[in-house]
Amino acid sequence: MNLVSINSDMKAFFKNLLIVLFFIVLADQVVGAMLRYFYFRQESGLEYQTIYSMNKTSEDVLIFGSSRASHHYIPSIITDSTGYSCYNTGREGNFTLYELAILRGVLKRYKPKFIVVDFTVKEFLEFPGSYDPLSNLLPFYRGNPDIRDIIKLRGDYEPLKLSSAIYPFNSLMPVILIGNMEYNKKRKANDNGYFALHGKMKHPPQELKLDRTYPIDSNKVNAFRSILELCNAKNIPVMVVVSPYYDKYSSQDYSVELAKEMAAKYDVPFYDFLQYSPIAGNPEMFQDKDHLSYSGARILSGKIASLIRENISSSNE
Amino acid sequence: MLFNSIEFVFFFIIVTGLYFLLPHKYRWFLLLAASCYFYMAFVPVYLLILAFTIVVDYFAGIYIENSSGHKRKLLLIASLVANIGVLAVFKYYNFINDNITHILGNFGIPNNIPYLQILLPIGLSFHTFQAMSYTIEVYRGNQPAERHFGIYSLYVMFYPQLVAGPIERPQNLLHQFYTKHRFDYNNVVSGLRLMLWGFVKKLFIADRLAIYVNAVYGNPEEHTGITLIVATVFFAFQIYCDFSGYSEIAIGSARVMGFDLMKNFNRPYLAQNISEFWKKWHISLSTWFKDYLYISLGGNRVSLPRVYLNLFIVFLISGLWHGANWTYVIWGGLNGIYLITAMMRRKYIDQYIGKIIPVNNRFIKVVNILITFILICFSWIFFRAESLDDAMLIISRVFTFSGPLFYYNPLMAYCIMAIAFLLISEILLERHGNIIWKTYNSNRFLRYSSYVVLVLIILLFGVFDGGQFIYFQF
Repeated sequence: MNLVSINSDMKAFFKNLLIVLFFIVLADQVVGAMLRYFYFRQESGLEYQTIYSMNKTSEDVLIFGSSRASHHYIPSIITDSTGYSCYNTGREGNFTLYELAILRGVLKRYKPKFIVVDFTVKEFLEFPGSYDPLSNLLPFYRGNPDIRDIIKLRGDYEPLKLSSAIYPFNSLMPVILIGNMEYNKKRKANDNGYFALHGKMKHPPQELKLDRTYPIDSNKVNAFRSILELCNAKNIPVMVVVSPYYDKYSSQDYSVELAKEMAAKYDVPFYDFLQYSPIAGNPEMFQDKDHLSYSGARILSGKIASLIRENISSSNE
Repeated sequence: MLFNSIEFVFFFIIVTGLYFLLPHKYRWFLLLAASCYFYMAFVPVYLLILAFTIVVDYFAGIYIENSSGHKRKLLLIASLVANIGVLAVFKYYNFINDNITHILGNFGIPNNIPYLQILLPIGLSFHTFQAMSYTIEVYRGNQPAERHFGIYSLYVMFYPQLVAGPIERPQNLLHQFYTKHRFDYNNVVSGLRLMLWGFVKKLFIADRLAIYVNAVYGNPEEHTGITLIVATVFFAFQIYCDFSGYSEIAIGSARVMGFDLMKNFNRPYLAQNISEFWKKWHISLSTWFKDYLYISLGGNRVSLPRVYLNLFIVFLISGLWHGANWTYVIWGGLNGIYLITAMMRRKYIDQYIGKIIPVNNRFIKVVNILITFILICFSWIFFRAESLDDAMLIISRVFTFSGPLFYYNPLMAYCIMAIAFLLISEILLERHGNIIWKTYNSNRFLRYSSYVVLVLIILLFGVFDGGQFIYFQF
């Protein structure tokens, strides 16, 4: 076969390509290093919540979950009632896999006294794009080798993309800027991870039927199992809670059923408050059909605090 | 395989590298194999549909060339029926069936014709039109029939423009497969530069705007008029950057190997009237319709009312080409009405206005650009809405300005930044293009800095979880 000879155009192209690539890599590393520095320097905002959850928590009781967790559990009420310090690591759009990553980050540093996992309806549902929110963990890829398996679920090429120093901070520049501003630190929008909502529902609850079966994401199921296993192995008391929904459900959710079975296997208390009567269906208790208002969160947090007390005392016996 | 994927980056590097390493006589085979692989990355079995149209049109081309008179015409019609038949089955069957169900339902008669449970083969409308242009050109005697089956297959399947164009003509593309392309520094660099610009448009602008647009158009009943206006304007820029970004990646990746594909967009939102807009938007499709449908209907040689009717028909069909939904038909019809109205205005009114206000007045130009943009935005409502009911709901709300604007930071800031970036670069290029390109090409520092900055923009602000290109569905 007659392979083409290298001509002068090729030489010039590859020489110039190397120069351009060198400057791209240099700029990527410099800008990436600056973003990393300012990212971990934040002291407020949503990103800071993940930084705090992963690297800084020292509280006795930790709450895990999604946006529902972050709007449903008020740490100050739990602390007042139990005497244990409490932090809510719940974050919008994030589910079991994120919770497992945070738990691994926490257990590297210390052993909490109690863990509450908020479980949502359809938690294990398989759907396209469900790993996208794991982008919140990208800044931790470099410093936390034990969560890399979770981040790699985002795609086969994720490790390659993460060779860029900027990529972990993609789309975060304004957030990082605001997170570093003095005025933002004074806003104090949250109470140890809890974000209060102050609206109420304008329409009555609907009667809904939950799906008995749907495609299940085995990675999410395994992550949930790992959370229970890790807590068991470290001897940390844990309970799983399905917090209330506004609408009335006439059937059981598939994910909730599976989670209940797994919890029973590990001897973990499972509290299904999906239709918890003082809250579910009450328009004053909800900001929207999935999220409690401050009034609802107060009642639920009181209930959770008493359950934590009970569970800690029974585990001590 | 999506252009905005890491797989494509590897694919492109390997195919282009092998292309220049292989002797010329083997290159067609490499490109054909690569194109098959590229297409099969979507739904492998749909390669068979492509193979069917390729075989039909390959033989049709040869038989048309060897025939004369009535037989020649019959062969062309047979080939066109085969191509349109494939389109009809895969794209329009369920749409037609739906309408039959609706009509019969009005008389209380059930429709027992079964629906097809099939996915639309990706890019079907594009490669079908490209294949049809070949047989028509052979019939018209403008293009000799291609005897090399592999080269003809490559004409239909050439991977850069296989799934979303530009829709090429045989006179422009076929002979290029016989040309021995050597590694040309200028082609490679300008091709890569065009690809980089296409990636910026897709990842930084289109996919960012898509987040807002999808949130609003997914639930139009929950949004206020002002939000729907903002979402529609964002969609105008989204679809432009999505499609022109795709076209630039396609043209750039072909240019690297030495192929010259036709330009598909030319800063359409700076058009001063609808006629100009359609000369700048999706140029390969507009000229296809002009060459093969409008002229066949009589073009400008018929009476004026007939010209208007022909234009309206062309735009209706163009709407239907985009999708099997009445929203697309109305979108096409609306643009037809715009164009006919503009032609009437030019003929009957402009001559009087021109005497009062000079046509070259800068203020008038800006006003014309804005009016054209608003009209196009209005038609995009039909294009983007998920149903006719949604479109009507959006239009009824667009004219009520009450209620708050739906926004969440920093998304809104990103969207505004992306649109400003696009507009500034397009206006500067439109007004001072020659000087900018001259300075750019003569200043190595400027060129290298621009590459670094554009890559940083993608890494910092690009959307990496974004979906496929909008026009893939057509």
